Amino acid sequence: MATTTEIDIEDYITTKIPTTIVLEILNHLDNVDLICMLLTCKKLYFNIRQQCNNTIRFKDIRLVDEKAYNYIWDRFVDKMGSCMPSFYNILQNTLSNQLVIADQQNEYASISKRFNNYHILDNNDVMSANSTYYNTKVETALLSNVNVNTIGDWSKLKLPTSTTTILIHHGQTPIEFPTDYFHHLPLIKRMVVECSQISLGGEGGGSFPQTIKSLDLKVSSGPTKELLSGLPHGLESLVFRFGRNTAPIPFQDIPFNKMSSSLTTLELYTTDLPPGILPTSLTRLTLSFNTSIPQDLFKSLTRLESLSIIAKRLGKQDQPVDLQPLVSLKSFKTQFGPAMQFMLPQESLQHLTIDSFTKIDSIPESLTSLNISLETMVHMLESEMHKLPTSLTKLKLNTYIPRLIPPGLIPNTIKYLQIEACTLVEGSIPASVETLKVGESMTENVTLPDTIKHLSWKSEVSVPLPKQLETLEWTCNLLRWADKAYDYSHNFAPIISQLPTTLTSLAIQLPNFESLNNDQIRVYSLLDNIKSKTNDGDDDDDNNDDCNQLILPPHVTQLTCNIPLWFEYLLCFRLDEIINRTNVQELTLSFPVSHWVQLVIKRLDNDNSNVMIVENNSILGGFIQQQPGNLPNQKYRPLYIQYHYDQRGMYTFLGYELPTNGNNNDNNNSNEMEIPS
Amino acid sequence: MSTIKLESADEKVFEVERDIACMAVTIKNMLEDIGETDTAIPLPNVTSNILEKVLEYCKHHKEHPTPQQDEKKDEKRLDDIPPWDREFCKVDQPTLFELILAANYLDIKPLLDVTCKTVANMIRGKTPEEIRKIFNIKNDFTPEEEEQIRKENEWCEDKGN
Repeated sequence: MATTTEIDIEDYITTKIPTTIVLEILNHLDNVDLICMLLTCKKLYFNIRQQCNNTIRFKDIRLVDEKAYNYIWDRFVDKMGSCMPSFYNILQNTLSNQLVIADQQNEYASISKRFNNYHILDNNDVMSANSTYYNTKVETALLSNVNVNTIGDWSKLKLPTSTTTILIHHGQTPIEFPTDYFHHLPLIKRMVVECSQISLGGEGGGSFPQTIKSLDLKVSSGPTKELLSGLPHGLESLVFRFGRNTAPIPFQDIPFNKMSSSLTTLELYTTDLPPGILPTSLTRLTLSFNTSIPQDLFKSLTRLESLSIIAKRLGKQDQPVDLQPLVSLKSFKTQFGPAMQFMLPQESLQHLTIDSFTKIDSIPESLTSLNISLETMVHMLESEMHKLPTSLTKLKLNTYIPRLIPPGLIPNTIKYLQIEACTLVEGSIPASVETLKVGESMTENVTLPDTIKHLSWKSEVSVPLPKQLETLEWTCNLLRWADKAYDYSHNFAPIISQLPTTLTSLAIQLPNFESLNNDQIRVYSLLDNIKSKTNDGDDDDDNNDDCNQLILPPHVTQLTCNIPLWFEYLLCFRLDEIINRTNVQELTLSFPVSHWVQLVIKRLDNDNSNVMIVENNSILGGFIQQQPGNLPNQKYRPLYIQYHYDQRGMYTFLGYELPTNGNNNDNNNSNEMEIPS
Repeated sequence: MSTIKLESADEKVFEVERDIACMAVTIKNMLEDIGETDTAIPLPNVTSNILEKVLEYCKHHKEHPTPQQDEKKDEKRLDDIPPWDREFCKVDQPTLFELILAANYLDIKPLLDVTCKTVANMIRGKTPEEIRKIFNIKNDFTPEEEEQIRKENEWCEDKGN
């Protein structure tokens, strides 16, 4: 790293470096670092921020997210409306390559007022060449539940000609485009469609634009034969997403002859698997089926690098499926129990994921990662027909009943080890392991190797921690976490004095809270959820009374607090404790299956009187001037980050006062916790 | 193997292999314009100590080409600086910025990229005041302007009541 000790270093950044290079440096920065850089001087704040806001972009911020259930980036998009005002133009520029067009009933309708490119249709709407939305830099456009009756007809809804990707989310209803709807989009390369049925105009379903290279369809009633015949020539990626009720697609209906040398990615749920029909150009194949596999189905796929097989119904295969001709295969995965035996390629395969129904002839010597049920692995090793290769460094063992891991079972080449449920004894974990993730565990008082730097421990029972530990994630079973009556607080709290000094990242759960207003408001505090030392009959909080003392080890700069989310409560978290009594620079407040906020904390002066707190992925936040405390021994007033949920949406805000009433209980989600499906 | 001569701002002449010199697009274009020549090509914006470093970088990467990164190539990542490049950039701040200016003038994109990433890494995790100290940037905001920026971006509201 360049030294910083020179005396009277020239100010290169604002005096000698051309603006284009300053912009190049800025474009490498994460969002909060970018904000800090722009706040250093007038040239960066006034000149470059204002003049170049069409050039500067935040990273990893978007409106549209293909992985979200409705394609809206809902984890962060509701908070983007509270972006720091001085950086709002940069946020708008960041989002300018995306366009959302949604119906009036859209749950994010209020967002449209905040963003130029989030457009809610009304009765008089016309999106055409005259529209302000037309001549933009849009690359990705989302049509979210667009009801053409709202605007009259499709001709009024022209997308920008710069569009390269279209996502159409139409839920469980059909969508019908006019024949020439996509003609004005010469650059379109990718289309993602989710609906019950799609028609592209013309008799029999119409054709997709011929420029499309990637097509991702989730058509719940199954695409019609006519629609499939309209697939474009030269397609490179074809994905038929499938859900519980999605109809399978007859293999024979897909015109593979149109893409015989171009198709590299195929994902398909089908009822029949005729041999010899798959394009030889395939490199990635995900196949879901409820039939047996023909012997030579894969034989010609010598370029295939990734194969995933999902059996929708348990079937039995008499002959082993030979994958050995797949000389390029690096990754092979089976799911949901195809009761089959596979002969694996021995030299290319690096990543293997098999479930307990799958049998393999041998474990390839080239393997570096293995994901397997614990029972299957034990059985394979006991049979002495299989040996784990020395190249194996990553091992994930799945089991739902905690089983004892005998010493010597895990080979000493493993650096990353994940076990879903187990009981560990001395020697269970070899000294090669650097990352250990343990799910449900009955382990007590076992010495873990000091080679472990990253530990994820899902148990109410603590374990002596490795001396060189850098990351500790200590959580409990998610379903137990959702049980209101379960009391795990007795054991479940990290003992701060026992945390290694090397620790920089800590993730814990917060079971204890203060209940206010007839239990409408729950206030969470880090201090209430940690122990400073062991509770051998002593008051374990006696060291925490000094308001100047750190409550976490000084090197802990990343903290994740997991909080249960019950929608009927207004949730509050004591932020002042984190600012004033820890050195945490990145605070994540997390619900069981999603994040609430991920805040970067910048202490701007020595006494923490001024702090900047901003979320990297939404630019929610800003400056805080801490207010002096009202009580003796209280330097600053308590400061609460609050989560409010009602029919209008979700709100995150900051305040010194606790609200006088709780959440609006009119919403239908009352009394439901956010738990994984 | 053909060589060419390059003359730095302080009139020092470097004889280098043509292929290595042509990693700088500016030099490549000059050579295409003037054709074969024994005359040293003047580089008035680059001093000899910086030119020496630049040529060291070009020589290393000619001999050890960096594999093409095809995954998320547009994403600006800070943690992907190769070890040799990271060591190469362990220089004092004036040298680092002079390398940036030289890479920009000579149009050597990989060198510009790695030096800008190094500067970005120096900014990472710092407060505005810490950044000012590192790069000797003068805080030219008046107290009133600072107060106005803080007020404009204040985050504390009591919507809950």
